[in-house]
Amino acid sequence: MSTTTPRLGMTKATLDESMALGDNQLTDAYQKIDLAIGASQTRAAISSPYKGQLAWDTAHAFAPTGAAWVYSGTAWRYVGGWHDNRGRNANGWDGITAQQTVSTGNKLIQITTDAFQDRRYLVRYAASYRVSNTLTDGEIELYIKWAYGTNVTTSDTEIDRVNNPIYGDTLGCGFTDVRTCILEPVSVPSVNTQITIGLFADTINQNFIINPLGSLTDLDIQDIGAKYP
Amino acid sequence: MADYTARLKLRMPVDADPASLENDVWYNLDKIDENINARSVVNPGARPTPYDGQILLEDDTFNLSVFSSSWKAWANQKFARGFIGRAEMTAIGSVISTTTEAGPFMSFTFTADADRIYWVETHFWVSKEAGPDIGIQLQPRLRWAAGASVTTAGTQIGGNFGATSPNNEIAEPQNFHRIYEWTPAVSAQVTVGLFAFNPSTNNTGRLRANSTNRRGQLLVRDVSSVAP
Repeated sequence: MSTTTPRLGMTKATLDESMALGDNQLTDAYQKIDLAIGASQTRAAISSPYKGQLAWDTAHAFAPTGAAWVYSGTAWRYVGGWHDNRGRNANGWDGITAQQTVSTGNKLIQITTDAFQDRRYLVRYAASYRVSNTLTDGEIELYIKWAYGTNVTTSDTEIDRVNNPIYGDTLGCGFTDVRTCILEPVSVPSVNTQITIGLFADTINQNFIINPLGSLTDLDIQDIGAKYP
Repeated sequence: MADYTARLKLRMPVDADPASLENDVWYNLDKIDENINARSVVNPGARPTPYDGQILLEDDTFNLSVFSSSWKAWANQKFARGFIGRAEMTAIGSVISTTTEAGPFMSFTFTADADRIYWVETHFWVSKEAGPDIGIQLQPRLRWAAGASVTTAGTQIGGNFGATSPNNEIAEPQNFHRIYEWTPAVSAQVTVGLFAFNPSTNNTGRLRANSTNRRGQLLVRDVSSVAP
């Protein structure tokens, strides 16, 4: 009596049964192996999955751009896909701890990293500051700009800005902003290219001290998935 | 002498070797069957002698690993899936009357997974609008509901906290930043929104925003699975 393998269901004749090389059983086995190599089918097309089977399809809300799945024995488990976050970019973080005085148009930090036109990026920045040396009210505006290449200036494209008014009688008190914003590089001239993002500050009425009290002012950029479905 | 393939050690007859149905076909099919796609084992102690590129599923922990000099974790349901989406508040919010909750001032709709844990990050500005007392303290409240919208009847996420603007300068609001952890425990479309309650019996207040330099934001991230 023939038997079948537990996962692919390949038929194996018993050894005392005769079989020609062109036998249908061998042909059937090779077809099943061929179909099973890699993640070759969608989950819906697999009626009886085996533990460890891989599939690829797009039918899930958090993976609209395609995803790989593995069958755990009881359910399909998400493995990963084009839509996944890829985390912080290479060289995608920088911070300052040295105290500095800023007025208007000061670039605090810049980061140069590879970017892809079909990916989206989350830029996060945090700044600690206080008023400089008077008892008059002041305002500080922190903003993010980006450009192709290895440098960014105040004349480049702005993607986020935050304004905070500070009272003069808070001299000595430190404040902190934490913000995120989305960067979608468009019309990148090649598949991937270098871009530079910068954290800048403008001030109104008086200068500000960045990084008072020894805390950190920093900037980072993370890949948050495919831009296109 | 028969030779063997590098990874699965499939037996290959060479030259004048007589083909063996048992050794050259059926045993090979058994090995292929066991190793096709991800090989399944019960625990790390049962790991086979690996080859580079081998994929392994440990079914008691659901660790999917790939071998590249050593076993590297590829996927696990605990892994964070990261950024889900983001909403912004780009215009000044309505006046919040005394002892009243208003909103949502920002909301975001997506399809939640019952087995996932989410972080909702909020950033907003608070100011006094009018009234005899100095400053104002609003209580921002994050709420969610099934479907494409959420109201003040939605389920609150996290607790109240006081967001105080300690002055009468309505054009100079104070900014706040808070992250909430949230497990909706449903696999369905949900909406999460930011509301604010005004506990004052004297003053009115607002969440303030504009389109240039005071844009409130609400950002949703997948951080883990509920199940271990």
